[in-house]
Amino acid sequence: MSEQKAGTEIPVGPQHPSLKEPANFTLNVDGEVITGAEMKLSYNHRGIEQAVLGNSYIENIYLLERICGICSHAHTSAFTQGVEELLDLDVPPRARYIRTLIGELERIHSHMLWLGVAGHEIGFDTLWQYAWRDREIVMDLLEEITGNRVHYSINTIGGVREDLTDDQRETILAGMDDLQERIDFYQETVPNEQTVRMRCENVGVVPKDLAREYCAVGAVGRASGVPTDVRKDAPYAAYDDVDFDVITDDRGDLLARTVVRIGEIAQAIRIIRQVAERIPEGDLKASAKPPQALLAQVPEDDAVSRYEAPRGELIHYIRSDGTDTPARVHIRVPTLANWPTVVESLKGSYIADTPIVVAGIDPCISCTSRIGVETDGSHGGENAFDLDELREYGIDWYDERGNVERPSTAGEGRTATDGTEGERP
Amino acid sequence: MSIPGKLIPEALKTLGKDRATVSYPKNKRTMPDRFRGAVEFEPEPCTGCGMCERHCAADAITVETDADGNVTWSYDVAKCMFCGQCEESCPTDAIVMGQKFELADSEKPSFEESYTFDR
Repeated sequence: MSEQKAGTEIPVGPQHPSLKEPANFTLNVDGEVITGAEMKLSYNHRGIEQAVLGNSYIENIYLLERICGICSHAHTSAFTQGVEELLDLDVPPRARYIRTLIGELERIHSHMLWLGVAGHEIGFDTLWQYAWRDREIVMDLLEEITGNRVHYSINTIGGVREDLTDDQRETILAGMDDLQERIDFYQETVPNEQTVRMRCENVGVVPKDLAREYCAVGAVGRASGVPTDVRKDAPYAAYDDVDFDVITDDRGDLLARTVVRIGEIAQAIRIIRQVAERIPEGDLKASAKPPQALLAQVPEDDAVSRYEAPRGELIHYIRSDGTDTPARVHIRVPTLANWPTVVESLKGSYIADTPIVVAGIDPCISCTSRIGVETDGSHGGENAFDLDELREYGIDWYDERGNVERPSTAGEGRTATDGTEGERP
Repeated sequence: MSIPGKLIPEALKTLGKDRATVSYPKNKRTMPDRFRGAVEFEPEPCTGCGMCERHCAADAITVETDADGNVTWSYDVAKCMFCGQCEESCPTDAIVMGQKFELADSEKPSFEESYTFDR
């Protein structure tokens, strides 16, 4: 993703380029204007796809939930949907409604969080504090329904673990009334407010054809006029039973992304109201069998599961080998699909706009860091690896690093330098 | 209505509002019923089947049976990630997610809990 190099080179990151997550940008600038941009990822690689292979499908729900603290329900839903497809389980309607409800509450909290972050990035801290205060309405609801503000752990293979009581339905509807009032206020003020307009209008523009070419997903794609939404394109959970609109805008700038996200909060409120009013009676799980009995039935097969996470389309690929642990799980997160648009939209922007342009796609860097291989930019370049070569390279790299004296992490004295990695038997 | 006409009443309204945060630890909020705190274990109903250990993604629970048929159930709250799957997997309801969440301590052994009983 490199372009012509002219003028001065400015490194941004990897520490806190705009959000509190690591990514590195190298900007070529001519005066105040960015002429070229390059990015480096994978400062946050945790080896989750490998860790998944050593755990059973049940344990993996909780492991994958911890990929991200914002879209935790998205990851568990995508994974359990995939396993359900492998097992050919029919999730009962009540469980599908509850998944939809949690998914939409999560979307509101994610978009409100983003609105706050965006306000902070443009120096409008009042908006930041307002948005985060109003976000607590949803966080409290989530805690009440699931037992936790962040990791809901409500999904299980074949359904959900917790029921929705009538009292909770009332609380949700009352909470949505309060939130609707706030969202009406934001819809009216944020896009017209002078500070927001000055910092966001015609900044970080992603034209429609670029969004299509780079396969932008989620709010980034929709703000550029690409009406992509898995909830409409391939409905899962209860999305074929509820009415909602896909919010699009064709300006493609940061203002459009803000408008689209606030509009999506309004649509999420609409969906939550329908779910709370219309939730059917019935079972919570597809099968009354204990979880271990279900795991014993997973056949040798593979499945692809798609989910519209708050940031865009999330894909989980699961391959099973007939045991209770998966043979391969691959995760394509929405942020990865949206990064190329950031690099493109940085070109031509001012340096001072870098934080908000980067934050504009609502990046989740810990989600994105699956594997880090530097290539020359084209597929199959001379630095491209296949899996065996990568494994060999990794072993060599660790052997070499083993010769360097490193602080020991064993024992009490953390500053001792007697221990070396690579001396393991 | 104009934008200042919207924002000024909002700012004035906010002035009269209580602060949104709680002054912890002086004031504590009550946790919801479904809150998942530290695991509470009851040896009486436990059969020693080991399902909790098998489904624990954080390896916080171990169940061992010796030659005499004594079951040792141990739990390390420092490893636990409070997902509640052990409660879900337990066929005899010997495990319940408790309400305790202030679990910090400077002594490592205080995180570990163990029960040995005859089955």
